[in-house]
Amino acid sequence: MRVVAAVTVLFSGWLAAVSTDKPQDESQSNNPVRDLTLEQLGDLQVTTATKEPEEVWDTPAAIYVITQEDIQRSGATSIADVLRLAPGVEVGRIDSDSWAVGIRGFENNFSKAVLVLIDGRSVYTPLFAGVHWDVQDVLLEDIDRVEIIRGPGATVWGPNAANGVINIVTKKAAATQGVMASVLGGNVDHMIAEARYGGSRGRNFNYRVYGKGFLRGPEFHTDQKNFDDWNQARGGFRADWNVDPHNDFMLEGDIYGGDFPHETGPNAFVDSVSGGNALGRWERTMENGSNLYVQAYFDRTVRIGPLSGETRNTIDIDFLHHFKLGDRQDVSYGGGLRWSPNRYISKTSFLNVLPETNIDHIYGLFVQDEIHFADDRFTLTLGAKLQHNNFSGFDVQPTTRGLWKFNQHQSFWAAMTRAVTTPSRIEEGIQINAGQVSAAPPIFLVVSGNPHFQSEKSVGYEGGYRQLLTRTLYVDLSVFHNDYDHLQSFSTPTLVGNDLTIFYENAIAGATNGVEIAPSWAPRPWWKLSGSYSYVGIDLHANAPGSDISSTGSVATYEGSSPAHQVKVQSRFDISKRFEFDQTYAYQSALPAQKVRGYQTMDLRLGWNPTKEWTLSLVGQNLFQPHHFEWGTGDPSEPPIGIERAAYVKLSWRSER
Amino acid sequence: MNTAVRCLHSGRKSSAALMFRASRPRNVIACISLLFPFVLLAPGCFGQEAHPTEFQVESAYLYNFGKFVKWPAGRASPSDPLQICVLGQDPFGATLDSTVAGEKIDGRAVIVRRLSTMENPSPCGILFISSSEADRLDAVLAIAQRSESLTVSDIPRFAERGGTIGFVIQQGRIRFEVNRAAAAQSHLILSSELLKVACRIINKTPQGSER
Repeated sequence: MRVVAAVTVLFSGWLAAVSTDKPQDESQSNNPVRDLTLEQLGDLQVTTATKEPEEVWDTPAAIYVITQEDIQRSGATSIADVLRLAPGVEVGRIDSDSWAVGIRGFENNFSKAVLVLIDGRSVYTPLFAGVHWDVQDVLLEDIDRVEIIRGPGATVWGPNAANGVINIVTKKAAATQGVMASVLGGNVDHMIAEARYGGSRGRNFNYRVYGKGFLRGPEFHTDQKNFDDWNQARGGFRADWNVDPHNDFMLEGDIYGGDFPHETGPNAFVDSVSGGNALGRWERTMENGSNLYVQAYFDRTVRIGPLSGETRNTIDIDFLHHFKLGDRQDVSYGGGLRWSPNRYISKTSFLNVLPETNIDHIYGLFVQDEIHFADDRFTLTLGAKLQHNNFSGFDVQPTTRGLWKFNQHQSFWAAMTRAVTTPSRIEEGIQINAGQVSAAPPIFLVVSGNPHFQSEKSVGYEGGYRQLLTRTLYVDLSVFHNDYDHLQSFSTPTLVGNDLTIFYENAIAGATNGVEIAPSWAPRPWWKLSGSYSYVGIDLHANAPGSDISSTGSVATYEGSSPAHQVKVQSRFDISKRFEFDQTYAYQSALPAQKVRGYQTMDLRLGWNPTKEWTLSLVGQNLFQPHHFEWGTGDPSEPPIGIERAAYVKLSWRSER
Repeated sequence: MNTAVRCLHSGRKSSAALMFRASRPRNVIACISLLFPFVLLAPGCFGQEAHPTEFQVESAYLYNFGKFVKWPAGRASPSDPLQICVLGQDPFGATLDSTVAGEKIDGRAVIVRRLSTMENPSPCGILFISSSEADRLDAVLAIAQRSESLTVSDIPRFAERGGTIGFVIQQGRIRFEVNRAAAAQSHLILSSELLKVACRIINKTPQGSER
């Protein structure tokens, strides 16, 4: 009934707002800022109408942008938790250091089929075709925005964007000048300390260096085994060099290390992780309006646990050239190569990934043409990506998109795209000796990767509508239907010699349908409301009989691990010049396959800026219950881990340049 | 399924799907917090000390630009008022009028005029082009250049497209970009104080070529 109460309150509040709405009343008195100097005018924080960022308006895809202000006022302390703000993104916290993330369905603890990029560097791992969220971290203050595209293949870079793309963009070094330091302490986030210094040499060379360390405590365990406290330290830099008006260089890098515990049975074990990366980018703008981007990065990850480990080095180089063809066309083409030698370290006899040493590689080319008609009112985009990977050979991913801008405030878009998810090392080469099932004759149960495992395929049909209804009310609506084929499944056990073997297969197919509505409303200059409702219906079937043994790979698990309904509401309230009060509400319906009920969460934040330099925040998270479950452990004998009610205090200082 | 599969997969044996009801939160504090912003919607509560609107700031900028721009001699007599014209859908309303009410720049009174077309732009010293005119921007700029008006707008990339001063919003603040070539083509002289404060200076003529 809480949801009904909340909706009633919101509705009556809307009525109140509408009835007391007056036309701009600042006209009655003189303009209070009239007598300021030009410099002073440029320093004022203003409230703007609810305007979608320009990149959203011109994009024929379901795109949502999380701004730095959204991040700050949500009180989130990790990237995965920041993603909860976006419509259609499903985030479930598994325990203190892991999350299951999905977009438009297929939430899973590998976060497969979602391409995640940090400044253009892919953080996808071919080991299990997903993301290790526990090592994806940046200073949240230094994130400029997170662009989330729901739906297949909307990017020109990178494989495995079948369900969406998450692009985390950090601020340019010129925007992070001076000193920033912050410290946070709470009952679950025990300590997070961050420091950053940014400087420059002249107008054209800016840099920053940062360091961050944190200790996070365990979540709630019904069996009292609090194994999931973890820690990590990292440091890095970014430098931007504007050599001349036509050429920009960027170089950034990070190193990190930490201990991440996991429970794998009666005892807890600790994984050690460490790694580093460096990325360089050259952007050249030419006089006729064309651009050239060249980017290269190196990424090393080392992950050692008691049962297994992996070391992986990735070298990637990409380029993109964009130019105008005639009056009406914007053409882009480019390509990339990713070379990833890696070694799987097996420390037990029952778990291995073969071959132990491998070089995973993927290379591809893409081309895209944007054709503008009728004075830019209608844009047709045709594109195709051709890629080759070492697991499954060639894949072609074409896309067709249309964007109609009816006027300044209304637009409609539609798209049809084919996308693939390339196989992972596990799907191709895992060997799990799951024990002896029969003594005489001796028969062993084995789960085996499949060297002929294919790419998962999807075709997405989607459309959307955006309208700025009034100066203060904006709405964004999207609908989609995705057809899937060759989704990962497990075969029934087959006797191969002495081994009863379950193979990885591609025998599941079906479709998802859904809708997302995301309104954004500023009833007063000091109050912004935004939120979303999303629905996903997953309807799959198996083309061959299979086994249901894991958190992916069965119809019941795919269908029952995504919330059918999600409601998200964010309220940002400027109490005065110095105080901010923010509320972040979310509702997720049940995940039957994870044995998780539907739940609601509320996070509150009170921010105080006594001076320009200091900010004190008091944040409460997951306030509705002492703990709630978001994802299962997958083992009926092990209860899910409860995400605790939490609170923290954060103090930060920044020197403005 | 034993621990081996679980350590990588969180392996499980599922049973039939079960239906679950949403759990009931019992926290009264959180309930009150939902009501909190609505209580404060009562007129007069808060709001006035909070931030100015973008249009208050842009109006102040438009008025101030008049102090930092020199028009060609002989263009207007010293007794003629300085006209700030708004072309297209007016986003300022009375804010702009109250900003310039009773003010003088270089001894000239400052008035605001609204234009729906570019039929008679000559007396406009400063021309604000509303975003409603974005489709016709090139034609508007050509006429404005001939009438030697200072063109200002919040249309995205206005300065790159040949306007003289374009407003940009950076981290919640209103800044502006200046196109010196466009100013020169309109025979305007921009004070160095104005250029110093601009967040970006472009030298691109409206036809797109660089000088």
